Amino acid sequence: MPAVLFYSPNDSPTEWERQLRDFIPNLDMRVWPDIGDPNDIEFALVWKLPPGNYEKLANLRCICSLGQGVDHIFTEAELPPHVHIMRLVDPWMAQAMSEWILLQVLRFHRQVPEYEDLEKQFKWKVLPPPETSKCAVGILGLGELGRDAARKISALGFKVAGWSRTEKEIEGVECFYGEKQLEVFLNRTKILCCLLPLTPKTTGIINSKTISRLPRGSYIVNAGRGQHVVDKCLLRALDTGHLAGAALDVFNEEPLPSQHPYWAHPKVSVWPHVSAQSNADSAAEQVADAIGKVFSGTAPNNLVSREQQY
Amino acid sequence: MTNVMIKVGDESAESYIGALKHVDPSLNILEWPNYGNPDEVDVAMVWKLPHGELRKFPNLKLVISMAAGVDHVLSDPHYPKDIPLVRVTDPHMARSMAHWFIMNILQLHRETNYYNSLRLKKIWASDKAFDTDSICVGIMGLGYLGVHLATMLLNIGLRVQGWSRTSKKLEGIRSFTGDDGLAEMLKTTNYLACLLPDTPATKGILDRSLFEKMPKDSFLLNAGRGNQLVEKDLTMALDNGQIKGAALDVFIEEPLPQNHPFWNDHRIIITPHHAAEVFMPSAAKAFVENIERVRSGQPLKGLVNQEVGY
Repeated sequence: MPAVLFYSPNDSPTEWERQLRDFIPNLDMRVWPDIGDPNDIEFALVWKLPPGNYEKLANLRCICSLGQGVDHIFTEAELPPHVHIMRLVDPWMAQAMSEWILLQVLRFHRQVPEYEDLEKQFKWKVLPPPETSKCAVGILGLGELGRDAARKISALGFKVAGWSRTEKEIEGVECFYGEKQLEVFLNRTKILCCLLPLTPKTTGIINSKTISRLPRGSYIVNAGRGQHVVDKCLLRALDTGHLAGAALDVFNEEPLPSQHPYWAHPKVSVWPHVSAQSNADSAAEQVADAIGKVFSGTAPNNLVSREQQY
Repeated sequence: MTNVMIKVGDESAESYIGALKHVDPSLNILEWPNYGNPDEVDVAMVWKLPHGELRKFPNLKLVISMAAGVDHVLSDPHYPKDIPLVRVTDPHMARSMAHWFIMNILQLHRETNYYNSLRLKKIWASDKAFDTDSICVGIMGLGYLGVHLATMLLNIGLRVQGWSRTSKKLEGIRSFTGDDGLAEMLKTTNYLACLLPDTPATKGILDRSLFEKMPKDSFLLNAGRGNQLVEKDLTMALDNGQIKGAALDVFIEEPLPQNHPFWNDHRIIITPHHAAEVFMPSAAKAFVENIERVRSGQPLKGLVNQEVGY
């Protein structure tokens, strides 16, 4: 039987092996760097494998990202041709992500940063109440995660719109698509949530130009990738008051360096990349299915386009 | 012509009067205490009117509570019991209340206070994963607001159960009634959401013996009334780990006194009785509808059963 390579700085190999064995009892899992004969490996289950290692696996047929994002795979210079690239589509992860996004949207909508300041001073004061039906939330990216978040925010009575590269249709959500409609989408958005994949086209999408299209006093919530945001543009917009606040779970450099201005910025809420993590318990069946398909010579589900990089 | 006397807590009633006039320009609305001839007052719209005032109006036909709770009227020993009393049933208010609960369930689940404290120290701790399925919300009180909350929780994928004095059947929700039913629900509830009305039967209901019926490390959220919680029992339960955290919008004494120990307790989220905001543009329609119903002798909406106190 061919072998599976495992590598992740965040996930437990023993936990994954235990869960996968429920489906593949004779699984041969090799945890990097103790991989034995590299020629045995046909399937790689990885998160941020150090560069230059895929080309050593002569019989590799599929790379499966241990998360929703696959940008860590496309940063590889020598990505072997003909290898399938797939992502995990974990329902548990979508639920966790929506939960984090809902929390940030509600925190901004209900003026929680302001109330937290008042609470610190033991001050009892009611601020003018917000009106939900007038609060426009915009989701950048309508993939598995974006769709789930959009539906749930809409279920709470917010005015929700989404933007994606290609045309999408979601009940209760106004859908915009393509470069041309981005501006209209931004114009109507008060709380902008980024759940885009990181590709050459989406890198730096939150910049001074796009931010300036948002109405004054808007908010940014980013759980996509740090590279979606041009930090100095975001900071400038917060300082001029064009943006009222930002909640960030991802950063250009992680861990966020201690001297970074985000840490102490009164309008920024820094989260240490905890919005949603993949979970062996709920995703093992899907990975086992992909391993089975690849070993038997068929294509797995949730394939990623090499051209679009997502 | 209908003469309406209005009193809105400590606020000016000006914006309320404007909203009511917008719906029905023919109303003659006077703000307490300048209501003119008491014989001519037909309707009293009140929030925190001093006790004894209502009996000054011999021709009163309807009392409207500007809040969902009616204890502020029924606790008046001189309240004229033959006059019908209605509470506000405003969908915007119900949504605002549901948002408060959902946001604070997520704040407690996602440990906002913990991450806020890390941020102050610039500590990056990416080691936690959060499992939405671990949340089971138990709602105490399945009235207009409780049902609204339950529905929204289901729509965002959380598990919900509920308890009420009289038995209720709601789709997708396990519901309980009676003392035994409460104990049964608490066994599996780790997020207790209290939305009970203030009646003699609910005073002090959130006490040590109730906390002990819940699993260890549970959470308490109260937006019912302050006197439903035995405050020192909560502190004790937080100290011994029975309760892990709490979010409170109502207190025995409001505003919460400066020297109250809750202010300084990082395990408790404090909000200044703003969970449910009355949105006058929509609430005014419901108020005016009841005024018309009393005029034409039709059954009232949100009529309070004065025997049971809500």
